[in-house]
This record gives sequence, structure tokens and C-alpha cells, in this order.
Amino acid sequence: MNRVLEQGDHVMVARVRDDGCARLDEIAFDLLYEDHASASERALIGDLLVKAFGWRHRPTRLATALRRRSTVRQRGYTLHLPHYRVLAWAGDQLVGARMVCRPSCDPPGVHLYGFGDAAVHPAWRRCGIARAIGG
Amino acid sequence: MRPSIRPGDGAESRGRLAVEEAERQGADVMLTSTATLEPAYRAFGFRPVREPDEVRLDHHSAHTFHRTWLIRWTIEPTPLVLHSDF
Repeated sequence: MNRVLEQGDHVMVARVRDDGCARLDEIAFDLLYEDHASASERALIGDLLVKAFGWRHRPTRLATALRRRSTVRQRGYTLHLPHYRVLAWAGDQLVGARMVCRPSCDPPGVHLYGFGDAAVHPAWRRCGIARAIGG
Repeated sequence: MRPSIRPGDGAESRGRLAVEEAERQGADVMLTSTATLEPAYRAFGFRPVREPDEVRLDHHSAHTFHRTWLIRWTIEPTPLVLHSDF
């Protein structure tokens, strides 16, 4: 069964098996550094984040939430600029993403890595993808 | 070339890309905020942040501590102050 999902400017066809779930060994995982990410990859990830988190992520005011949604769609992250990302692909379809960032902290000499923005496409949940990109 | 795990690779190799890359780069500490994925992170050596003095947000943030934070140290734990929400 194919399911057509509108993703902003993209049209994504998610292949959904009869049992509604892909096997984890059908998924490929890639490491993508932010300075190597294209605008279309960021937009695809941004669409995935908005779909995963809903249109309202953290902000409680409608105007703030709508502004945030537009920003997230464009840049592909919610709070922190990614250092790199792990992407989960089913064929050429992005089905999961996780980013690792470098939040600023004190003491400044500590090399802190923050793991955030774990998102799985709604049609591909309960397949172990979130756990697989979790670490 | 991007590190990757292709379909058909062993299940044991999955889920390590993000942590292994941070280790390779010399991360002193790794931090995440999650409730649902806590078991997965525990398997990678993360544990809950024990108290606000270990990690907290600076005084400009509305909340100074999140109980969903999980942390993994590769150095001796030291008090951290984050400069923005996480």
C-alpha cells in the first residue's frame, strides 16, 4: 500500500506494508554534518519535525507557535543549530531524524554534545526507528 | 564520505552513529532530554541528571532544571550551566 503525504513543497509517498510497519533492517541510517546539508535536506527534515511534533512545539501562544513552525520548516531544527544529524531512510524517503548540537555552557572548556529533535514520520512509527536513532 | 549503516547491516550496529561520532570527536559530556527513549539512552551509558546543581540553565531561562534530562560523562562530573534552553 502506498500512502501519499503532503510535506510542504514536497510530496512524499510513504510505503506502508500491510501490517503498517516496515522492518528495521529495511532502513538505512546516514550521518549528515550541518555544513554539508542542502537546503532541500533541511526543508525535508523541517517538515518531518513539524509532522512529528505537531504545529505547536513548546510555544503556548498561537502567533509564536505559527512563527516557530515556519522557521522550523525552513531550517530543520527547533532550538539549537545542529552539529550533525542521523537520518533514517526507507529507500529515498526520510522517515526519521535526530540531531546532535553543541550547546554553549559554563565552564566553557567542557565539550558538551546535546542530543535533540528526535522525530519519526507518523506513518513509520512503532518500527524501532526512534530507538535506533536515539543514541 | 558520510558514515552510514545500510539495510541488512547487523542490528547491533544500529543506534550508535550519533554517540560514536560524539565519542570520536572527544565529547566530555552528552546530554539529552527524553522520557520515552530513556531505556535506549541508558543502554548507551546515559543516566538521569541527579539534581539541579549538576546541570542547570542560566538565570535568564524560565526553567532551570528539567527532570527529563539524561547525561553521560566521559570526564569527572562537574557542575554545568547551560546558556540556553535544552
